[in-house]
Amino acid sequence: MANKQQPPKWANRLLHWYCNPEMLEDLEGSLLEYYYERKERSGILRAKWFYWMDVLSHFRPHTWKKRKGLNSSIMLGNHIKVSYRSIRKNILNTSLNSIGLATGLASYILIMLWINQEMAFDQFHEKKDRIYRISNTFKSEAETFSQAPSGPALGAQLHKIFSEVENGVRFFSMSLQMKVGDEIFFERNVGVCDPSIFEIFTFPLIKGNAGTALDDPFSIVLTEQFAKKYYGNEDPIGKTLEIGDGAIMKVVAVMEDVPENSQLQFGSLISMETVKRIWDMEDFDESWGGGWFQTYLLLHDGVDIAQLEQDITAFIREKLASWAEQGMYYEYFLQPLTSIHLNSDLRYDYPNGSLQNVNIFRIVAFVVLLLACINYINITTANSVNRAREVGIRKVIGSSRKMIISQFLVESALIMLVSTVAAIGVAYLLLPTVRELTDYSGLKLFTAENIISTAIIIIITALVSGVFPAMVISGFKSMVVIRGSAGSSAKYGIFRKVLVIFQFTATVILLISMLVINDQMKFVRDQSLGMKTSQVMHINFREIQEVVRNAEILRNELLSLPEIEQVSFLNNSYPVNGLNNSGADVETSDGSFIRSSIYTLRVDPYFAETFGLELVAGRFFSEDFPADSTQSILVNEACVENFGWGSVENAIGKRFGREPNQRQVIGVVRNFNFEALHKKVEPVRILPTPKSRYSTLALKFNTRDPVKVISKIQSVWDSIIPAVPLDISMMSDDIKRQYTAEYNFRTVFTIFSILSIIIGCLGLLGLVTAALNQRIKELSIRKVLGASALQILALINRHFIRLIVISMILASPVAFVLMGNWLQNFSYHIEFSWLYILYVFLGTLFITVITISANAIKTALTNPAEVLKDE
Amino acid sequence: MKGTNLGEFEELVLLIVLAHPDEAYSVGIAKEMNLITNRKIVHSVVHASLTRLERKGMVESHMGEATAARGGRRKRIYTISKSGMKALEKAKSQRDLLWDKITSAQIGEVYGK
Repeated sequence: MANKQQPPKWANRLLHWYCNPEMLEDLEGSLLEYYYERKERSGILRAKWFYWMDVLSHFRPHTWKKRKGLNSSIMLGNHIKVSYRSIRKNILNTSLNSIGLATGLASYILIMLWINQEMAFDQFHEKKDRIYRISNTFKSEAETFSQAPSGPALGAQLHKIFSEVENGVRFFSMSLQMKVGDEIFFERNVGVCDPSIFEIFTFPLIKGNAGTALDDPFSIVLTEQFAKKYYGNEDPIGKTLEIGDGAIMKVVAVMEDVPENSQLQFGSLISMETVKRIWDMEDFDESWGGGWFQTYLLLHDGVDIAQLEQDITAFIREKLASWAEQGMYYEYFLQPLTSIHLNSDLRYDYPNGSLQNVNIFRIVAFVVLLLACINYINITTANSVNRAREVGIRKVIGSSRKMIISQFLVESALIMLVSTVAAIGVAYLLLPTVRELTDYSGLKLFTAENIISTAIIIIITALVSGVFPAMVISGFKSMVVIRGSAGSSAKYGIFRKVLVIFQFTATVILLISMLVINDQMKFVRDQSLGMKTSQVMHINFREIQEVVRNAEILRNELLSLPEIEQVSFLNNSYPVNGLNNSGADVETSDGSFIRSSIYTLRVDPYFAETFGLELVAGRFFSEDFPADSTQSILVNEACVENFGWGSVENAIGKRFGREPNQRQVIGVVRNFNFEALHKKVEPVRILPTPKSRYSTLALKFNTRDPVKVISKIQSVWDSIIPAVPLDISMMSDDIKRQYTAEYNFRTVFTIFSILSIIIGCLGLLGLVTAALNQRIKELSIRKVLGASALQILALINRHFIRLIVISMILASPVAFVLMGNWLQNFSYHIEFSWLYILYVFLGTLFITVITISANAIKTALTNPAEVLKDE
Repeated sequence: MKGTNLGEFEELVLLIVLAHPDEAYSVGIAKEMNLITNRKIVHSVVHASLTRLERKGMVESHMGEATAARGGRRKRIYTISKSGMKALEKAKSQRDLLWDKITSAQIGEVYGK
């Protein structure tokens, strides 16, 4: 094992590679001398390490090999000049190449901007690796579901009970009215939390003390943006504002705006304690069940997560012993903060992203870029025949292969440069659109990170697309090409065909996916909502009692407007925004009761008519039955199935709850969606709401001009309750907002599919042009011999159509599997139909035939004499 | 060329070469340098300096004997050239000239501060 005693082989290789041979023997000898000495003194490991260091430290210009050769900077000038000429001569191919590359690059850059944001979600917290959200799976006899919020006691007490937990914070956001001076604002995201929020998360303060910011009740922290909104340029610290129905809050701190890629979103923060006092709530810090807070825990380093989850589950099961007796309990689990956004799909969670979508777009962006590279390779090699003579002459004169390669690399680099400039221009122009589509208004193109990653991808693109053509072209044998044989181009014909097939396979997969996604989205929008929402607006007034007192007057006045068909008050903001759920005892088919948690909707008797809810059995609440308010309840079809009642008719008369608060089912409504549409419709009960809990007014209108209606509503509103601002919105807008992510997914996907077919066609155009150039004499002779223009067209088309057909055959099963999987994400989905494949096949065929023929028709119609007269 | 001026490091290297006729080579010089200056001088610095001096024509070199300690590689032995000698002498005379102007009283004053 003498080898082991030798200095490191790779270090020596490096030395031999760079070192000037005249110096090598002496230098190597010296390094060896040191090596043997060190081996004796400090052992083999250190000696090897220092040998490496020595080799590296001698890597300096004076020890380098002297390179022989022509002055490369002069040649570079020549390369650029020649490239410029050839680019000008082949302006069509150059533009096809550049447009393709620029499109591919621009879309790649923009998609990466979005992906970077998604991947960096919640990464800005300094303690992010130790922060976990505690979520739970609720289990009962009737059901099992996982949800994000936990009982209030967890956030208040876990860190005092478990030594693994350093700290805890509870958070939820609510809508509140804020009165600053005489101005009234409705704020949709007021954060309510424990003061420990500043110790756990990284939300830097601009003014004020993070240690004590929310310690006093009735203190409020504003973000910079909201401080500006309320107080302009004045110093807000110490100022007061009124929230809700008149609680006075003191501004104690101003914090930096919350980053857009944070799951906690708020414009201002108030403490849990304040909320308890304002609404006079009993102390909930001891209640372990229920709850509507997101609870985050800061753990100590090196905690065994699985063990802690088990311990917490067991501990709380004991605390909720009375629930456990009825078969209900929570199983707690800890979600690492930074993985929640892309990996969590729970009830009552914030709108989350999807890792699947991120990966889909990553792949799609990469494929589109690859398609552009393939274009470049194909067009350049297909046209290489035109350059063959040039290469032959160069070689005869004495140019080395290396030189010719560098010539063609410079040419690629120039085209790449043009494409890059164009791509960055396009990306810059499209940035506002992308910001809107992705809901990241702060996306920036020119950050250090983006510039570096863009530079890397551009270099890779340039290498992928530039190296192969350069190798091919420089490999031409000078004798062969000067003699005029064009064989070299045909040699790579097969390779080009494979690339074209790959391109069209990818394109066809994208196109089929696009059709399926579009149809699924349309299906989701049109069919399964179960409510007629396009003609509904709602006014949100959050239980402001002044509105409630005037409810009847408001109702009558609004109904007197000819455009308003029906008016309904409800307690929920509106049904598409998600509902609350709570426990209830429900009668089953055999007359026994089971305990189950069920979604609850509280409405007045006009709800069904306003929202176009369909009754499948029984009747809705009615003012004609005063007993409804205490004795009746409605359910949806999902309840019938869930509780095993058999048929909707059987459901009538089933009992909910125990005496004396027992209600009987008087009707069943058709299922309607109130959660994201890829979820199954869950059981819902519909209860009458007491007047004092009215919080939203919904209006059904019958005109196509909502703006006019709104202005009329405004004047009615102002005449009755001028003190309360009108917060009105179209329900269809809200639904759209609910599904923005899905709609945007569709839009972006459509754009990509169209881009890919454009790039594919550009490539095809280039290939056809090259083929025509090379075959023009052959085609002319065919014409002389009697071929018609149509036959010539068919001849050219036939070759390419064969490739498209092969692509279709390859793409169809792949698209079938991919889209079949994707559709499984939706509880309600369309079926994959072979018609999609047929449509895409016909469409692609049509587009390619047009592309080819438009180009070939000129050749087909050319007078053969024009072409052949020179021979 | 920068002429015949020497840097401090180059001057030391030249002096060591001069002091060890027929046996000055890079590793030996580096070790001697370590001893004299009491600084950590790495081989690559000495090697660079020798290459530079050779290019300036102040040292000459030839290949010496192969030894086992060097894995059978020969070493490059450096000897000082005439112009190297002149450069050393010039450096020395410049210093002597200045030292002559300095009296022992002046030196004592510095230490007396």
